[in-house]
Amino acid sequence: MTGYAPALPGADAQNVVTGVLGLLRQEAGSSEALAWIEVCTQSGRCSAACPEGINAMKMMRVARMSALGSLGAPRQIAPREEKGFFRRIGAFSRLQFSAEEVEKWQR
Amino acid sequence: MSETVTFWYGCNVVRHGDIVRGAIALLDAVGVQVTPAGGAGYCCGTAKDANLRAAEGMAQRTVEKFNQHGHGAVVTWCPSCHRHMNGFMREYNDPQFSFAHITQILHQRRDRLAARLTRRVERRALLHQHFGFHEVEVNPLVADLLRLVPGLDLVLPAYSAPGHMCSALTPVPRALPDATRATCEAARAAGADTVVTVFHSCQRLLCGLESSEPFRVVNYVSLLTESMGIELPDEYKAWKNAGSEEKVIELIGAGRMAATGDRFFREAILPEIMRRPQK
Repeated sequence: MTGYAPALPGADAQNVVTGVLGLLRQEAGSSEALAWIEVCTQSGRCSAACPEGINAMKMMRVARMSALGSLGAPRQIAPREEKGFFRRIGAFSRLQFSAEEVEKWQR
Repeated sequence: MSETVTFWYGCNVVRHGDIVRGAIALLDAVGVQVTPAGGAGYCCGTAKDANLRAAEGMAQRTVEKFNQHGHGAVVTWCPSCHRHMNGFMREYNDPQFSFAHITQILHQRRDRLAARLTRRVERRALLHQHFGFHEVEVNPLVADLLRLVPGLDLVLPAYSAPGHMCSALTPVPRALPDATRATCEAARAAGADTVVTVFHSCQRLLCGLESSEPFRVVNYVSLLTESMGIELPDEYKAWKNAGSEEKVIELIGAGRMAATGDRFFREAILPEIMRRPQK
């Protein structure tokens, strides 16, 4: 997915990861680290490739939480939350399920 | 795994009641009785990375409900929920249950399933794969299940899309159109008349291709239930390919529209249904 982030091709890998580690320490993320976080889809290929057995995918997710401002540091990236998500879920439930199913299965 | 389990189908799959009912029928066919649980009331909280207090509350509530079910086992459908349970929910709650993905349960009991797949499904079907659900190797499991369907000619393409399902690509500009285009090209190259989705968001985001491509888009659950003789129409797909707002409204009907709230339906639901897949 890194090909989808214009800041990443040609970036120094160590600098990118250093920026991610900074985010885990609640520091300001480098533009390259933030770019990686923005395009990460948690495929887990980084974890599978790590020779030290580190769960890099989880590191990326926690760094993303940090960049979103969830862990105390200022927000550095925009949240992806879909506006009206739960209302939409409720509406499709009523379109697809009977009132009894909603009551029994979704309360 | 006990014989009665909680079937946790998640939030976004509620657009596809046919998938939920089909999955329940498949679990029943392999001897697993379920307490279905899903929708907003059972949210895992994975969408709330920007608000961990909310995420924690949702996770805690959902785990407590599963504990109250008392089955000792939860079968997941949604890969996001499965991942969040695996990586976060169970770490700061007290889950009193094991959990496994539905593909694992069906695959373990595929001999029982095979005995129920009696109707031929004459299709050349290309499996739409993603490589990002690393917690469970769903692609080979689903492929094995589909090979049980008499008459089905399964094609496994070299291409796998990034992410765990199509919705994972929507926040990344160009990523979903690229994956959609690659899937279309693979289907055309294989001469497939059907593209088989594994997850609900792929079904949601690809099913509109039927209006412009020479193949159908069908979830694997639907192919398996079809072979069992159970027909479960994919209404969302019918709406998506209806062609006009008037036709969508006609298919849904005034009663169901009113149940969602007419204004909300027109402002939020109808635009989603009318949106075409980009490729």
